[in-house]
Amino acid sequence: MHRKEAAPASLASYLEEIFLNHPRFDADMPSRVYIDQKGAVGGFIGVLPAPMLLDGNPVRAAVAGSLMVDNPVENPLAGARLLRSVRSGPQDLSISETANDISMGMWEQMGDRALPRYSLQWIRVFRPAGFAAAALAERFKAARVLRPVASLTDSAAGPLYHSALFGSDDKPRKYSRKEIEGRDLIAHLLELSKHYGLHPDWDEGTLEWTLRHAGRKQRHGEMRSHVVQSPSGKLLGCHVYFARPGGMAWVLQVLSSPKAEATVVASLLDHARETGAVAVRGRVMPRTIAPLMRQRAFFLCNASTVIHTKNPDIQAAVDSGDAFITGLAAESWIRLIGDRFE
Amino acid sequence: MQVDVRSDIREFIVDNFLFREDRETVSDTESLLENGLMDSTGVLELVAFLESDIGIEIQDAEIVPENFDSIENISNYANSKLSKNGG
Repeated sequence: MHRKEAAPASLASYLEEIFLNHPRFDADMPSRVYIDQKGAVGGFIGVLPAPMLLDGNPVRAAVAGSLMVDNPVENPLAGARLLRSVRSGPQDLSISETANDISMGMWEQMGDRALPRYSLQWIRVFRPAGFAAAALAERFKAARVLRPVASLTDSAAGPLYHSALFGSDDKPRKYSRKEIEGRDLIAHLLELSKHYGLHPDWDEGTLEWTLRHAGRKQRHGEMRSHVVQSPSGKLLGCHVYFARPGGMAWVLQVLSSPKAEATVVASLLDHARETGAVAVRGRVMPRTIAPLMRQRAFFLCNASTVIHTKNPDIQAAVDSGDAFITGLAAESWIRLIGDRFE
Repeated sequence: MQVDVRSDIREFIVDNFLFREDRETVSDTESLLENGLMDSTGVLELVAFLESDIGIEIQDAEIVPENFDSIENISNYANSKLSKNGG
């Protein structure tokens, strides 16, 4: 997007913090700027280092995103060079989690394809009128005045569509849920991530840093993290999402133990509904698609996840759905995705 | 003897870029960038064509207006690369 006004100072310091002061910064895989022929900065692509493990073996991964070009219509070479430069870097795996249509078109021209099972956005609606008002308010602040009317509409019409909204094709799940943060959350996420053949090679410090930055996202409300356990206390999973009463909740991460995906998804939806969200949305992971379908979520695509790798084992892990490469593992946690800078 | 690739490049650009602008012709010296005939996706489409069909290897630093702004520039650049490769 071409903007004439100067970027806010808070954005400049945020870029420095995220891309230059990342705890796993890798000088061989830096972010890039495009300098035009007059010596001015004409574009930028952010690169987040994302060390991973594939069946215990280290994988050098780079998350490329936040591609921005000053006046791309007049300067189409900038975006092409920036993306091509990152893709041809020394990493084993390049990931773009939230490529828009233009970026995706560029990845495709270089031979990479979108990954539908990692790309689709899911939405589970609890209160249809509230959902419509919240969706409008995201684009037009003035639409916030519709919320009280929407709330009344949902309350009045609720009995008419109760079974369609609150029913589920899934059997009831027994679980206990507890809000957690800090070291407990980190320990659970580390443990759950290992259920994927390809997963982040996190250390506690990096994950703490990542979660701290994720918690600074403001647009969708407060970040809430929960652990889900079986009645006997066995770890089933974790969910991390943002919500405010009367708003549309936004899921950053759902991780579960094997065969517990449906229970963890049920816990997430139950909690969001109980705390007043009008709907919940997030990005699918291959293992959550079926439980979400049974929970009557609907699916759409507004951004694509795409990878590039020459390693057939990495490609096979991704293709089989055995890869944890989105959310906290990629770039959804940064404020550049969906937040505003004043 | 090296074959001039200009006609192949022209054919590629006419087939892939002109229809988007509802145009039928473009001169050899007309700027593809300034006239909006080639966007960032188109640049990579052209790069892929030059690498796979014309057979040259392109460095990122070579993706500059001097090499990519017109059919003439692209052809001169491609012919230069081919001649260096013994094309």
